[in-house]
Amino acid sequence: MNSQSNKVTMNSKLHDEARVVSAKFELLCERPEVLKTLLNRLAAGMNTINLWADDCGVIIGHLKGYVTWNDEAVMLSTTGEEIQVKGLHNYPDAPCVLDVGLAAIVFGARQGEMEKQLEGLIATLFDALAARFSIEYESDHAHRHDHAHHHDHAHDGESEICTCGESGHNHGHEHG
Amino acid sequence: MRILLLGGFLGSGKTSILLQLAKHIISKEGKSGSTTVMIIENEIGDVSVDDKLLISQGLAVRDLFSGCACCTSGGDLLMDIQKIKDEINPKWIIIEATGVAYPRQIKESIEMYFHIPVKILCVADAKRWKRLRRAMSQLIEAQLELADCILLNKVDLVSEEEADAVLADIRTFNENAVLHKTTGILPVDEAVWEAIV
Repeated sequence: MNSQSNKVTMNSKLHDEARVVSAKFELLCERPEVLKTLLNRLAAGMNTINLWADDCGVIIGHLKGYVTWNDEAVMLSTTGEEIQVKGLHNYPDAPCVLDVGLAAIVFGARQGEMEKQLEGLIATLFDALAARFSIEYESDHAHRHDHAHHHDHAHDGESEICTCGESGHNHGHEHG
Repeated sequence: MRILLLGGFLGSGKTSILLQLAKHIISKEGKSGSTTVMIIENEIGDVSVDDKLLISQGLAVRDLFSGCACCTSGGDLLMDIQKIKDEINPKWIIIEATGVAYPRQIKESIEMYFHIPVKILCVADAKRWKRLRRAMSQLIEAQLELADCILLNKVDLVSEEEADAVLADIRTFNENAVLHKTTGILPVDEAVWEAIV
């Protein structure tokens, strides 16, 4: 089991009307299931943010994420609907460090809203990693918050990434 | 050295287009001892995602983080170009602008400083056109107005009539640009690249 602590750094800024929020962290991946869980939760969290934006009239410029390890890179992206995944050819066959980044550019969000959404995504993601692999994290961002609105899947295992755009709620082709 | 500025709104498919364009140029120019194409990837935030995809495809990329080359990072962009020119002198520099960049400022500052004409290739999103056009018309118009070539991307996600209507709308912003339809699923026609480069 893994019990390392992972520091998440988050930054946000306003550029004209665009709110730009980014976050990054590293994660020790001792077995492929860690990456599978991570990618599934990233996709589910991005879907949840898409739904939030749709509800609030916020325009998603883009929401992107990457995971890199050794010479491999997986990218996830959405502009408000389905999640696109590129570059997933292999899972690591030996322990490695995953470098994870998230970047969001949105329009029409009030100050702090997008930051809160991204924090919620990360918190939910680490909840899943903590439950399955005892991986914990710390955030450098000032406002931790109640992320209960980020719905959690009850996974026993992780398979393919769900990118259907139907939010983080349970639905037809659930994993595991 | 030639410089191409790749602009267009967030999520329009600039990076996918860039991958194809860079590969076309490299195959056309042939492999030589020096770098054929150097990409400058401008990210407004502190995290760069697209560079990972480009690097994984074997392309040479320099990142310009935490600001937009049309304003806050304008000086950094000029310094980067100078450095690339001095150290590598590639046949092409392709600058992928942020999705919120105003290309006019970037083009004017590069041309003034380096006396190299900058071509602008703009990518527009057929699927999100109506919504973005309504919500942020000033930015969309500014991204299109000076383009030499405009690719209306993701036409596979709208009807042919819708795509034609978008092209007609785009034409009202820019009378002179060469217009092409592209999709996210099929390779761009070689003739399109030939027209651009």
